[in-house]
Amino acid sequence: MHRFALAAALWLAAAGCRQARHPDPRLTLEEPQPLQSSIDATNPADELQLLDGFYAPESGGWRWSAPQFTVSLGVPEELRGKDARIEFEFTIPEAAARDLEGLVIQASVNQHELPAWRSPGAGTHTAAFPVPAALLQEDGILVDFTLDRFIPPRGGEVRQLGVIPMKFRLVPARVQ
Amino acid sequence: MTRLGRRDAFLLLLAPAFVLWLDWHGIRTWFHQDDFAWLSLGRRVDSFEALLRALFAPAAQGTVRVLSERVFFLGLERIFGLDHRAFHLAALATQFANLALLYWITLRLSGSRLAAAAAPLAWSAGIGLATPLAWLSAYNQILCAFFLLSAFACLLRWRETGLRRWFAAQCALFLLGFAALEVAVVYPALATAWCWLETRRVPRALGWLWLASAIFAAAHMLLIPKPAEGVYARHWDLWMARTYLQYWSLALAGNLDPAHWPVPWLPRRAVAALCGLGAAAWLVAAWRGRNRLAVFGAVWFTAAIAPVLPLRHHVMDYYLAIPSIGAAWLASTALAAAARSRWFLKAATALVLGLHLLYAGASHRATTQWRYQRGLESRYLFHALERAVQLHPDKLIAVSGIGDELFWAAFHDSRNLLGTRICLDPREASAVSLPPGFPPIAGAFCSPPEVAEAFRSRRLVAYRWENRRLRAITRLYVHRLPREWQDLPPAYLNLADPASARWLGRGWHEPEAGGRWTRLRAEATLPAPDRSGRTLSIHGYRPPESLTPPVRLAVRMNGAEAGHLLLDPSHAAFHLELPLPAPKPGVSSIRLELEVDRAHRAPGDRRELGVVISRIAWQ
Repeated sequence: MHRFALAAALWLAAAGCRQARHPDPRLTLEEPQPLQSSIDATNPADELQLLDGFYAPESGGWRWSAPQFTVSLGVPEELRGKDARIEFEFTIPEAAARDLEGLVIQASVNQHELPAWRSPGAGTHTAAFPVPAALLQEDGILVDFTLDRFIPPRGGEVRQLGVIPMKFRLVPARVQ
Repeated sequence: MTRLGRRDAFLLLLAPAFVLWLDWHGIRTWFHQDDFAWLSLGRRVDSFEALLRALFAPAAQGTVRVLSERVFFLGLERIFGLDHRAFHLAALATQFANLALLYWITLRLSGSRLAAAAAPLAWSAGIGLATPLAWLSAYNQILCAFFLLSAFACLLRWRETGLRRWFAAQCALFLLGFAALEVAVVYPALATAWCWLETRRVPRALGWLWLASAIFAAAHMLLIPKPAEGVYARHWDLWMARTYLQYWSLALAGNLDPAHWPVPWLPRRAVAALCGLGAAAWLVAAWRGRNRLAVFGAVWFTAAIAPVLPLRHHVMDYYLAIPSIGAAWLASTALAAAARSRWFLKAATALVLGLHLLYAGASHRATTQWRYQRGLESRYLFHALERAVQLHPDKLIAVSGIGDELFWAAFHDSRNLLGTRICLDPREASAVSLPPGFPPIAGAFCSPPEVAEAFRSRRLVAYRWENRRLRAITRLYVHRLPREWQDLPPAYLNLADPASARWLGRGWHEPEAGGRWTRLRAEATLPAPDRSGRTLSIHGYRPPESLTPPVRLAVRMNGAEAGHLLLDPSHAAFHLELPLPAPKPGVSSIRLELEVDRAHRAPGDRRELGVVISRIAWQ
């Protein structure tokens, strides 16, 4: 029994030989604090606010969205509790003009739907969605975008493609 | 006896060098699968009794592999923590000792240096050793091989010298084999077979070995419960012959898919058949020519694989680790015999052995690399989880994006090492399959009430596994939390906490230090169970002086009596457990009623008192 106790004591003492563990901080991607009120979908530094529905960047740094996608935007102190506007800048390439003809974009904040925006066709556009002050009480919002049409999978492409997002901004309702 | 010389020193190094080359990925593989369960053993050891329990309490499938699993993981983890290199060095050192023993035994029994050098090489190239060298939980195969080979070497020395100490050493090593792997039970058969093959008589002293094996086998049969279904269910029938042939096929030609055959037009089965015919022909010739080691090789393979033949649904490559020693003797003696034969026998032997080594070696390499990748993924996930726990030590960490393979490779068991509740999003339960016969894995998934409670108390953190990193998605997760979850009551009510009042109905007094007094009748709301098999647990107390005569505590769920407890002075502090009904569609909560049949009146207290409840929970 004494031998067992001695062995147990040695075993317990052996823990002192272990090195302290320091997990690599790069293994988790934490949510940005604070959130930015303006993000660039082609900028890797803003990627953490592209929450869902974005495909991997293409070689030029731009990327396709899915038919539904979500971003987070910071609400700066000066916009807190005031009416504001979400601006979404995007491109519809000529090759996708037929598929996306008459595209309507629906945005919602906290399940509250904002007035829909209709795209005029191919090219680069900025969709604007007014946001009532009641939805801007906290330091950040999540915005869900839904496209009513998309480019279906065809040829070697297996993804459902939406538009090419460029920028998302939360700005005052009336720019001074 | 053949003495070892300088030439042997060089030949002895061949096999270890070959192992380092072939298993280069394997011996650098990180922990995965069951490794985490063994590594977490030490977390539960906080006393001498706990240490004894960790060392000797039956674990997976009722096994007690004290040396190869308990001491191996407990000891090395205690000293080196999660540094896999220390574990692999120990495994490698044991295997190098095995290779040296195999060289010595083969030289001693065949008298051929060619056979002695070839046997460890053939054994190392086979598929049987790929997993044990890469997966640390399969170290039991390597350690058991060490005990069997060293015991057998002692048998040979005993027969050579007649010294009792060699017999005693053999017995000790054989008995230690039981602490490595149950397969050690076949050793008396191996020792008996060799004695008979060598001299056609069996020493009576071997009876002691048989006795030890008989006792172990009887204890194993009687004390260890055997699963009736699932992959570990045993089937004692003619199918065992088929499983036996399956293992030969695996040993001779590996297990590669057609896309990975070394010779694309030559099917694996054809190689297995060709090598099998070659082995059978050599066995017949060896029997006639009194090549005892070749015959013993076949006996060794058969005896060592016999214990796993009833496991028809669990044919594993690493079960071949020990039997393959026999196959290596067959191959090495055939090579030595061919070297002394005519050219066409040399060519035929080279063809058969070449195909065997090509297919088995390729399978070995592929298995090793697969294990290495699995370990790599596990390492990324584990360290990412560790980092998440470091950032959020007291939170509930809900993870999504973990597929079936990574779940079993790392997620399921590694969580136990991290000391924080980490669970998978319950909506991803269908992404993980539960193999038949495995214990339930519901604990690996967060329950909706648990998520809801963590959300309300701001303890919820959510991550998604993406490109070998955990990406924090708490905002998105909360944003998409189903509305019906957010209002779910918690599955755990601490009655001393004033916040619990939200989930209590009529019949409760104000909270006190250890809980709340009920009146004669009290009501509470719990979420409906998310699956069958959940248990309701109620902890409470009533002063013993108020329990004569005994008081009946009845528990009702949604109006129907679910159980009761008779409280008497010996059960003043009570813990009641009741099975919960299976979930019903559309029913999201349970209305719980507790009722005592007699109130307690405390001096100076005008309240109507029932029982003190400290916590109510389901699990």
